Amino acid sequence: MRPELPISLEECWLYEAVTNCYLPLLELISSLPKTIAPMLAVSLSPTLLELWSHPQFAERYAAHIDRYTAILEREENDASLPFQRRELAHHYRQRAHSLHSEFLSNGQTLPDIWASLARAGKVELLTTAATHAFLPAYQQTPLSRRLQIQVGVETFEAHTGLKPTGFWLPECAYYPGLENDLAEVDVEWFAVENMGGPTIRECPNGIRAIARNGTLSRKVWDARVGYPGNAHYREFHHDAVTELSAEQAGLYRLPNGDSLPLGLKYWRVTGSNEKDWYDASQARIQAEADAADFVSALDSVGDEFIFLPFDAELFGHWWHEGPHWLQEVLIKGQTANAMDFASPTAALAAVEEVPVEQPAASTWGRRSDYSFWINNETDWIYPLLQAADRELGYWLEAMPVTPLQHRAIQQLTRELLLAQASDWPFMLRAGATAQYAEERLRRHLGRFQFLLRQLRQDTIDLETLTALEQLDPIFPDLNLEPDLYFQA
Amino acid sequence: MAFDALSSLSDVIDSQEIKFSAPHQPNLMILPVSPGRIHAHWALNPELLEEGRQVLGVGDEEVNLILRTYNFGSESTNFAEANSTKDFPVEGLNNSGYFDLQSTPQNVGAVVGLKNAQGHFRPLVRAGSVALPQPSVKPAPAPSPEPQPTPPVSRQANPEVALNALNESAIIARLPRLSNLPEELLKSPNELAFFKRVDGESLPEADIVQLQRKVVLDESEIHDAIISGNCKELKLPADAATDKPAASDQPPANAELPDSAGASELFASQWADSWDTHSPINLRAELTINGKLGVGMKLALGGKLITPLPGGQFKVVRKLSGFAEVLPLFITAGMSPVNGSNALELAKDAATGQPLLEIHASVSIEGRINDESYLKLLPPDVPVDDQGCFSLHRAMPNGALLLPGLSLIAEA
Repeated sequence: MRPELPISLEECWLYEAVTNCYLPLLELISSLPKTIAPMLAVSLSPTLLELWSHPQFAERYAAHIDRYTAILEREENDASLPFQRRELAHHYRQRAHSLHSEFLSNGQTLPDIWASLARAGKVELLTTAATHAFLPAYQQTPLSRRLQIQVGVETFEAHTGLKPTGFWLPECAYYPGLENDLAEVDVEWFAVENMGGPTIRECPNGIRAIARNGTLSRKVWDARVGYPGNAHYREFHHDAVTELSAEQAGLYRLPNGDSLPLGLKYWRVTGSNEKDWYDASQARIQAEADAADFVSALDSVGDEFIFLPFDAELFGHWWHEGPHWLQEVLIKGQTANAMDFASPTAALAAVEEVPVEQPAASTWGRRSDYSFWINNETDWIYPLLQAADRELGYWLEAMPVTPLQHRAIQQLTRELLLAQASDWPFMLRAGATAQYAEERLRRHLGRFQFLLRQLRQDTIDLETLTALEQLDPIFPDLNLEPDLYFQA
Repeated sequence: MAFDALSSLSDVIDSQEIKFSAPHQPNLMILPVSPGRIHAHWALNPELLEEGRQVLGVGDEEVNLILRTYNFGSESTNFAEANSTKDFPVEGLNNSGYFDLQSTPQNVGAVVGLKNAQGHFRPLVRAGSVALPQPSVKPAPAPSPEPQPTPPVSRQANPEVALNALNESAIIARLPRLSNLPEELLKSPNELAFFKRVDGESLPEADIVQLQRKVVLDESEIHDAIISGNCKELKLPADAATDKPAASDQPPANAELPDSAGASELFASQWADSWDTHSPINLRAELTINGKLGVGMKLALGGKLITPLPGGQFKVVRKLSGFAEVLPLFITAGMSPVNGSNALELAKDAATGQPLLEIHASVSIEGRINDESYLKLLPPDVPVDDQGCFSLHRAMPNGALLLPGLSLIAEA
């Protein structure tokens, strides 16, 4: 959230993900038949939970939906637009209203809704590091690593009232020994890349590691033949907001002429430069065919324990038909093929004999190594983060301090955590949004530096500290007990 | 606090310059990258160096700055119990680099220190050990299924690029150190050349090898392979696309659409090594130029001013998309020592002797060889996995620094 702006790129991205991914997933999970154990597990990141719990989220999201549906309504009524576009605008407007009124019109927050579904046994919830830091890069900075894990779990517990038994390692990135930090927050399992060997291992400290099934994952992820690239599916990249006049686009047109993402997506992948109109019914038929293909592939594996993690925002946000595909896989697999779908905690409970060994260091990135996050374009980040970690460690050791200094140290911690997100090296490497990632890094490290100078000189300015707390209001109840981070 | 007040305060705060590393805090940081490969960043100070020299009892010219790596298994990361060590000559008080260990230990630690001619080593700063990714032992993926024939599934074509004719002479002209390159190298129907560095000789010696079957190292094939391989992040100018939307009575539904092949493409680039399997060889390369600017110096690249990172350091990473760019670097990298001295000092302050502009260059080349005949192009020390994939990392010799159309201008 960017409270200093009426709307921002980040908020638009969040709202599009809520409308297209998280609400449809809630709808899907709510509709699943009652089973002994949840069929799915979802990792809710602390940053997402914080965004959903921001005091202005409900109001600002509702305002966005109002603006979005007003634009869709204008499109519907614009006789100069092609029929297909007007039909789709009508469909999207109804869908947005329906999802919003079903889940968010009665004052409930999204964390509340997810937690109530978990309590009802419909879904297992887990969480991840505070800002999704790439933990193998922090092997030499235990303070940062433990902050990421501890703050992550505490934030999850604060928002859901649940204690997670699973922990999603950001980017599925593991190194031997990381399980010892996870033991400090009573985690029972985590996921790793499949590097050969058994699917389930038990680390020497008793925490279990589950390896994902690469062959089946590729049926979804593969760049060339993965399901989401099918010509019938909705094109993600083109948003018709760019075609609106400045007056029509309103807040979604920036002063420099650029547009913010709105979600006016009328085309299908097609397969050529000229895009055809999106046909929702044809796309659903394709999703059902792809689901049948996937169930058949699952069936061919036999009675093995199969673990399949995916990026949640693939379903609905990137791959618009993803939730329907997932629903079809679960229903067809269970009813027609008698498959057992269970969340990891429930499934692991049924597995008794597990070899005791540490998994190999790995990620789910290219070649299973760390090079997508530590490379020529990103390596400059880490010495800066390490230097900031040292400074924060110094001030944590200096506690107890005055209440104002304590607030400043809390904000220092927030800025450091925000600078550690794995999104920044990912975006720098992927290239498309590198400038944004660098801006965010400079912003958080700059704010850290700004406050650090005031702390060192004992000249903390209440007004600027308050401003920073409002600009980056994440983790408001940050626990900075030094014992937590300096234990052996 | 009101939006306006917040906004103006954030402008003030965010305009601050970042300065972190205190000059009196020597530090060594190592980061795990891939099996047998680490990144190291070190910050030393002159006092520490002088202290080291005094302990060794030598002057400036008689010691080398060394990064010593310590390989560990899974049992111990005690430096005294390391399985093996390896020394890499390094330069600069505040610098960084990538280091190939020539083995794949589970854990590695490192020390930067001074080494004298007798081999005595004086540690200056130490980094704790880190765990390294291990080579995958997972089975090769099964061939991906082709898209289902019904309903017809046609994916968006990869971006097309108008290929310029290969200008062998121009390529060779860019390689003054390789002026004896035979022109037939690039489009020889039956032979390719592999160059070996001969100790003591300034020019490489060409070794023409016979290929087992007829192959043509053709730009268009390789270029296509690069585009359709993992270089998904390539952003082409709009006018590079050759297919324009067809004229119709209605406004085209796809006016100026970005190139894409659906949602999975974006995600896949982070984890899938989707090399083309039809071309005899796939290559992609990345040239990195990093350096440090002295006080009062500015640096422009191609007429555009470079914004240095905190501390005056800068880094330019250029992905090389054309075969004409990749091949000369590939050959030059093949001749370059694995971890050679790669600093090019372009300007020095006459009064203080401090460098005003220091530049390092390195190249990373990855590829997949589908036709075994092409394996002969690789230097002998580069391992190739069972899929034919390899990666080559080299510090570039000084003469190769300005090769691929880069122009660097320093101005006081």
